[in-house]
Amino acid sequence: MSAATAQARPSVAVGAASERHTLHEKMSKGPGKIGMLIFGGVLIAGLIYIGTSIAGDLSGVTMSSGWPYFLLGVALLVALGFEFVNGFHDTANAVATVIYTHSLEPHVAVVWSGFWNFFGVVVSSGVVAFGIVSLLPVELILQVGNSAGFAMVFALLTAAIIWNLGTWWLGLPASSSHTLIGSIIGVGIANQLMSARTGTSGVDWGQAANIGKSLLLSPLFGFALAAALLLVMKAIIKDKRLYEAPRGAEPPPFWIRGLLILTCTGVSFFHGSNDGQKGMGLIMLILIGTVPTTYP
Amino acid sequence: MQGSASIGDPRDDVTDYIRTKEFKPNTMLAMRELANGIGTEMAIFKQLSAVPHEHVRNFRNDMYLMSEGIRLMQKSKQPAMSAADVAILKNYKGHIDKATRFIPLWVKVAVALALGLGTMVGWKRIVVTVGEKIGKNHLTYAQGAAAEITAMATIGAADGLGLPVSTTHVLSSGVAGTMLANHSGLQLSTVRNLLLAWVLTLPMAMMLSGFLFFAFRKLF
Repeated sequence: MSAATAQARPSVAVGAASERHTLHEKMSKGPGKIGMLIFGGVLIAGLIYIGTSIAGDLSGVTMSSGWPYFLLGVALLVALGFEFVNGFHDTANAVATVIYTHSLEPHVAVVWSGFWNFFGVVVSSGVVAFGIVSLLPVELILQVGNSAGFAMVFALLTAAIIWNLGTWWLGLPASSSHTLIGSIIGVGIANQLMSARTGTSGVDWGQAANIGKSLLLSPLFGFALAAALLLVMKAIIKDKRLYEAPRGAEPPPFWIRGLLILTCTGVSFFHGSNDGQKGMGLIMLILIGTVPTTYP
Repeated sequence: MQGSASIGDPRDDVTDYIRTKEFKPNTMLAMRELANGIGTEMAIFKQLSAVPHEHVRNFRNDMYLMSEGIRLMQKSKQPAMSAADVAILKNYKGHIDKATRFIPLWVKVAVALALGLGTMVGWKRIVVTVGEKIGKNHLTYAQGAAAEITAMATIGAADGLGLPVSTTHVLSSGVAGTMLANHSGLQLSTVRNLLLAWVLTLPMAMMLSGFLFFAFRKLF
């Protein structure tokens, strides 16, 4: 190592530390008045829309007691709670790189990613949503309106929320899909053990095998491909700025900034249109079970 | 009725088929019976909304069983069918699914809002881990781009090729890969915790939900 680089090192380290400081300051800042206003507006409009839709859907229904409504309300809240905690994990992944490369302000990045997730969910077909449902024990799906069906829905959603919250608390990005499928298998096994039937017919072990494969494949894929891509970039693109830690809050060169924002957008959108809809199938199951005449 | 195949309630037989995934001699008969039932009701009521209330759940369940049964037959390619029959079944299943697998817009809006709200509340913990705690040095612009491009490409490939990969895992591993390629060094304690969490996710979720299901069944 030459004297010049040896001398350059400490100043880079100091620069990185102060850069990290400004980043943390930015991240802990609130989203600002205008941001809160827009967000609050969207939320209220959404809630009004949802409320009037449900009220309209249920207006023709007469039920003997308030109990089904209560169950419906709680089940919907739990299912939406699952999606809420899902948002802690998965989308956050997509924004990490744009935030740490100063391509977007943290709050802008989060709202941007949230929007594309939203868009992804809204345009999704629901195939994945019902794919999840078909993994459940068939006899519980058929009697989803009674206590066994509700026990199933509550058990698997609560379990998924607990694990996702726990890993989030430890700051560990875990896969919400793996959690959900694990919960589904768990319910299947418990259902199997509690009924008199023998064997493991109610459990789709193929799904567990798929997750096993994913556990091997995903880290290898991600690790090797990203490493290779970086080496290729280093060989082809000679712009030195790209391979240094950001100084201050300086955004990257225009094209790479665009690329980062674009990929973040893509990851968010695909997440919404794929993983994001996994809770939807369960919500439909709840609706069909409690008010079958309205959601046939 | 043919040979040894005897038939009870077609619903039970098809339910059994879906549960065991074993195609038995009476499965086909039961499926036909079920389809006849659905066809008769449909001819009477014309549309699902006209079906009497107390009847809807049964009718819906029949259609669900039918669709799942066909899905299994398509997947296992049992019994062997001509291409024309396969096409007819596919068309039939498409029609049933259109009636039963419908998601109202407000459900999508509610899910999307919950997801977005969650991100805005809880993003920081995960972002800090991915951005700071995987590698020893700060993420460079090129590293960020390489990891994110890899993640997006894998989602695309996973959808197309049916590869079971997880975006979460790909992105975190991608950041780790670029750190190594950059000779930046990895924070091994974080990497170890990540791998541990990933491996434990399936068994822990299974145990939690299994236990909760057991508890809920005993309680209610």
